[in-house]
Amino acid sequence: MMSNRREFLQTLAAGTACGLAAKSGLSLASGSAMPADLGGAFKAVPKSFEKRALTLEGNWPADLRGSLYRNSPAMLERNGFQHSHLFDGDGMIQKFSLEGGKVFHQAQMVATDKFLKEEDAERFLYHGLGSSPPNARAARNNDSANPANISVRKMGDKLFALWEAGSAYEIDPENLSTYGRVDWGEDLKHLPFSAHPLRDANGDWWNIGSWIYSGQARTIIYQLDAQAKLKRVKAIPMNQAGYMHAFALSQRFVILVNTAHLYTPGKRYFDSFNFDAKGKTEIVLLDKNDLSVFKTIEIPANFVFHFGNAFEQGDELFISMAQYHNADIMAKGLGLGPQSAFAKEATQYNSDLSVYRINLKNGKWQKQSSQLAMEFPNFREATPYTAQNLIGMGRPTGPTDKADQDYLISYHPLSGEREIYDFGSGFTIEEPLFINGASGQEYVIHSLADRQKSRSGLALFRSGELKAGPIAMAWAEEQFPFGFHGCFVPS
Amino acid sequence: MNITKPCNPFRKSMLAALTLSSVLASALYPTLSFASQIQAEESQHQLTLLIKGYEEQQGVTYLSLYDNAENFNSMNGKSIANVQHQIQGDTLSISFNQLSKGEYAISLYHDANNNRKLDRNLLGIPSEQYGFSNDAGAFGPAKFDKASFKLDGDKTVVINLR
Repeated sequence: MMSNRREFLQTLAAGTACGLAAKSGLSLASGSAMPADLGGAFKAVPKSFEKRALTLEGNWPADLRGSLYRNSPAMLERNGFQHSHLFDGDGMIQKFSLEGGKVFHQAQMVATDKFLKEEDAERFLYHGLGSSPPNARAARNNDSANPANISVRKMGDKLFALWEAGSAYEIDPENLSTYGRVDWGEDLKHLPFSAHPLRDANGDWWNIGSWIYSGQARTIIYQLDAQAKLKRVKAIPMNQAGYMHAFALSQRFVILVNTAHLYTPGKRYFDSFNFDAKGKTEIVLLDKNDLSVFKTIEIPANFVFHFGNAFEQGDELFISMAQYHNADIMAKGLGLGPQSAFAKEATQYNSDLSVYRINLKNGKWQKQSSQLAMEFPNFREATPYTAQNLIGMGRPTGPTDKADQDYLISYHPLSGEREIYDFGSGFTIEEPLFINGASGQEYVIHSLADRQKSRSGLALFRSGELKAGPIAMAWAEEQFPFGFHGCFVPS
Repeated sequence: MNITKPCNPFRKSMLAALTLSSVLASALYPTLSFASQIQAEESQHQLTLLIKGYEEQQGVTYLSLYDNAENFNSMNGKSIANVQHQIQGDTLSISFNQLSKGEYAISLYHDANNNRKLDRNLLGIPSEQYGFSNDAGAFGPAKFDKASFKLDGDKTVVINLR
């Protein structure tokens, strides 16, 4: 938490106003011309990157040892067919190794059943969530089309590549080879296991799987122990078939946000969802003790991928979420067509990082907007249920803000304190994480791409001192595939 | 390798078999037996089924043949023939002789682990492979109008397992 307000926006806005010529597109922007040229982050990629040392700038702390794992939807093209949605690229696990002042990078495709079959066939075989390759086969089950491409998390002593609509795949943390698909139980094969498991304060892991079948929506709640062994599972009927990508935890509750992006069967999975602007989003509070519904709170229709942390103070529950006023970010923004957020002249798909303050007795709520289009919000997993500053990437959206690119952002949901670092135009900032060195020093680390120089790298900041700039950076000689989520595993 | 057994389209519900359709909708498990005792009566046509897409080359396929919507849709187990057959490859061929002209539908599943039931997941969705004629049943148990086909001569029907 920051003790002083570090408002950097005014000088930032002045700098960016004259520094940028065109919109780079919110978040995730590659700056490439679309759709003919997907840019460096989306070009055909090798199926692996050998371990190589990166070129260092600044001082990488000697006590900072470990691995930053990230998952990228890397393989978007086969045999002349290009996926039309970023969510359909086959997963590649990237590993940045911090080894006592040196930084190395390596990467490997996740050897899913889908990937192996398509390698043999030398073409895409299955419909993706948002793409339809020619002569696609009928999916046998959810894992038929599982690209394991959204996140990579370590639970217990195992590393998992995660999708959201099918099984996890276990990955060798050293060489990144794929051990295989994970079944949490005999009757849990092929069921959805989201890319955003959350660690409870007692070390347990929780996750959800959103399942919609024949018009009936159910959310599977998984509780795993600290070693990722299944402790409990339950399917919870939902009032509406809304899209859910992630969830939140508080001291007492599993918190589902059932968005107004509603499912009715369509040609492709994402075509099956339509945003009901006149409808509602439901915040469903499940009691951790018995997974019963404690309370369901209706809020105006919104769309959400990601959450900050949630915490209870007295009779109030605080939950932060990067919410959108519609689901265009899903249908269009993360597509790779003309309306892509990655296009050079892209439409902006601004989220609004908002904090909901819910009275647990009467269900009444208040919303506080941060005026930050913040995405990939993260918090300190060791202290999940405390008010704390979130870190993410995005841009300010207040009435006086003129920011036209993405920044590294820290934001405190109660005090409203914010801190922003500007890399300048032409950079793609990826998910930041809080990490700790052996001495206890807290840092913020994230991968990024310098699009003008077509290279990828890492940036390291002292936590709470973002505006001072990175204390160390590490650069490759090439640009790696764009990535979604990951984790840091200390040595 | 193929099996060809006479089936009597006029002698229905001869086997007290639960079928795939019923399994999809209930907690009961099938105890199918081969339709060997079906008497050969007046029949004209041969129906050959090619079942494709076995992911596991072990276990038993349980298959039921229906000739009316009521029995197929009501899942009452009154099929006109039931077949069980060991799996030995990624495709299985089953033939019925002496079938009368008419409208038929097929339901089947693959008991890969030989526990004599269609395994289902936490949500009740089959976790073993199954199929219907016309490859119907993408969103739950197929109805007769989606799975049925006309037989007015010798015919081969391909079923891709789900």
